[in-house]
Amino acid sequence: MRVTLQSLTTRLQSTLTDLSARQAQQQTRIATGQRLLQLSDAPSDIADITSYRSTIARLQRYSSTLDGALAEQGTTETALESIATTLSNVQTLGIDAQQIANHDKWNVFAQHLLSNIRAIIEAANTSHGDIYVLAGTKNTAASLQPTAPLETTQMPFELVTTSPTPANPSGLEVRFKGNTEARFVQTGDGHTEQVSTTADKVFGSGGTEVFTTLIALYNTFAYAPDGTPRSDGQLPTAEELDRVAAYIKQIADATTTVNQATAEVGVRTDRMTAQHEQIAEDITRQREFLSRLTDTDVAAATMQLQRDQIAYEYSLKIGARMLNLSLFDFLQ
Amino acid sequence: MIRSLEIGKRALIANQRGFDVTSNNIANVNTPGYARQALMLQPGESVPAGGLYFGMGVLSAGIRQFRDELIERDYRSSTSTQSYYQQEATTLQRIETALGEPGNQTIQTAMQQFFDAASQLAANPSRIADRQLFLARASDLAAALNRTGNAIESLRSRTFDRATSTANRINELLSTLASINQQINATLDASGQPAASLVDRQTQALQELSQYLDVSVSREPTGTVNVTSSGMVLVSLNTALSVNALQQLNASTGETTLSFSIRKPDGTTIGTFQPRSGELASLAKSYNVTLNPLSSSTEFSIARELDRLASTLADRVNAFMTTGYGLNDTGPVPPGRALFVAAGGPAITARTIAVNTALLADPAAVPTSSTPNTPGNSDIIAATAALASDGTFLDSMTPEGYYGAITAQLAQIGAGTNDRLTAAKTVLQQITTERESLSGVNLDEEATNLITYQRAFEAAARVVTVSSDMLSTLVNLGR
Repeated sequence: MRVTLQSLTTRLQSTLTDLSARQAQQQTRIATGQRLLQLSDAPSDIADITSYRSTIARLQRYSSTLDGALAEQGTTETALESIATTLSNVQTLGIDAQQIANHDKWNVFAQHLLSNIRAIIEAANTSHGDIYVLAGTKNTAASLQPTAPLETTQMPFELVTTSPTPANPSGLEVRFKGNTEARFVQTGDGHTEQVSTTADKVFGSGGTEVFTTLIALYNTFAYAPDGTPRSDGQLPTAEELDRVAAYIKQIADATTTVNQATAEVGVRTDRMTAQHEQIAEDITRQREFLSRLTDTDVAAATMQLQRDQIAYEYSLKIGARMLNLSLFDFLQ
Repeated sequence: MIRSLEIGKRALIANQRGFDVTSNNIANVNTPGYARQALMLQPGESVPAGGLYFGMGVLSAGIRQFRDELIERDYRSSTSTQSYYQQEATTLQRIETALGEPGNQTIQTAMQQFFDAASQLAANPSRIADRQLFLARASDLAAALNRTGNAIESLRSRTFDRATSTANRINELLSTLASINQQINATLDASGQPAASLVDRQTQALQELSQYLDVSVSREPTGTVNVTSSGMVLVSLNTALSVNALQQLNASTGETTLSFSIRKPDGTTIGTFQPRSGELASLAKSYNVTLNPLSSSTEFSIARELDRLASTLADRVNAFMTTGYGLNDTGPVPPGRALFVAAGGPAITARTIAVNTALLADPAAVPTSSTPNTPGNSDIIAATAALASDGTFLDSMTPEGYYGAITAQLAQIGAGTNDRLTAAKTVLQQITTERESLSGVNLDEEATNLITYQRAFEAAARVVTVSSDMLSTLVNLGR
């Protein structure tokens, strides 16, 4: 077969161009650490890469959500523990009030009880960030509009003074302005987790049942059977003692309810923590799978670059030698 | 003696011509399209003298060009094929650049960040900062789709411009071929063969034309050519038609397509044609299918797929949002606020998708709740965030899955095109080698020919000298 100058040079140029392009590619792969410089470099891997990236993003989303939810559980648990402790104190107060030696001090016990009621309300109005943790889905100050003239605050629980009645001589009432709807967040594919504790779970029906009992106990301590304020040294009647005993039992039940709600928060926290750890492991695994497809194998790329460089060098040497030879060089 | 002088003279002329042909070969060693030439020699006539016939030296019978029409045809065909895939590979590479793939700031990244923000807002629906972040991410997603959609449209526009300039170059080449045909007819040699240089120019023009179109060439005995493409005559003897790129609008669908018309020299349109290979065919396919957002072809269209993604995303998100309530909505009827709207167009596409400016101005108005006046209710925004893992979003895929399928398909097409391009280059290289082997100039061969003609010339000169001496001796006899 005839070999012409054109065919020699064209072939040499083509070889050198291909080798240069390959070297440039390998250099870019090593410099950037990215195996794929174009989609067509590994078309069968593209779908997997997109899937891994999507999965990692989704898992990170769930992880972030769980972070926020766990923080809120911590705040809620602290509030519930405070409420349970205060209710225990009220129980103790009630038991002490039943002692004969303390029968003449019920007006003092009334004042202590009132401060405990206010402490429970304060704990019930605990906020996490700008949301009230026990207010359901009406949990921002903006949504908790007070109803004038009795209500004045934009908090879910408020102690107001209504008109005294024979059944409620103090007129005290705890108003609940939130709702009992639970809040949920997504913590996995098709999986949601409740993050809030509703007021009815803590305080009974309507979120105010416990407060009704506490105020009733206060009224018994602070007021005589005829509705007038109890004076110093005024002794309780047998019927009043029975009522106090019944209220203490109700408060004991309420304390148990609060402790159960606290336990539920604890279980939820454990569950979320376990989920969080599992998601972290999943993310690590997915990143490893992704890395195998997207990251350069530096050793292999370096070896390939060296091979291409050697091929390039020898192509240049051979090309130079072949192109230099011609009969014209030998003709006299 | 006179006869010997004549023989010597003919030898000198023939070898001089041979030397000229060899010199011409050497001079054109690097000329594209040049086919090496050889002087054809034949013995001179025999004349009777003294009962014997004496040959009268050597005559130049003609100049032969080493060219095989079958190889030329294969060369043109391979060139068309390679140009087609080269152009397609270039277009696909530009599409990848427009998508930013493979990279870290892509539509997929923007979608992930959008769903991240939705998820974060679902956990804290009353927080204004999270609402602002959600709107910012929605705007980023819309901007990413706009950017990509506009880049694709710009590429489409440049494709049409390229088709137009290619058609113009084609027309120049067709005119050149018609002109060469005319010159060939006017300059046939004594044996009825065309001038070799004209044939070389003709070959060069046909080679370049084959990059743009699939061409069929029928050659007349005189060397003139008729050129057809996809069944349409483009050059017939001295007449060249012209190819024109047209944008045709379908008034009912709004779709624009690229087509090509054939016109006579007087401007009359005689028909349309669809090139089957070459750069022009690839440009037409890119414009009409790959980059066409309204393409009805079953083949892959990146513009159409992006528009589907944008419109479906907007529709699904808006379906939730329009039934939801913002922070300050007291109901009972949902205000019907959409998150995504079409800016600058009747429908939501990748190029027109935008965030509702009413929500941008008032983040509290973003519908997150399914009931009024319950800021802690995040049903609507949670459903929006859950779209990220909704396997029924589009064609039984999640949003990111669908986008991944688009890029995977693009990758497959790109890899296939690259493979076909490599194969076409290999075939073209082989045919080029075969062509060079026949038509190319080998310098060693020409050097040998130079020596051959030089020595023959020297010998012929010697014949003339000796004949002259002998004649002089005859003339001076008897002095």
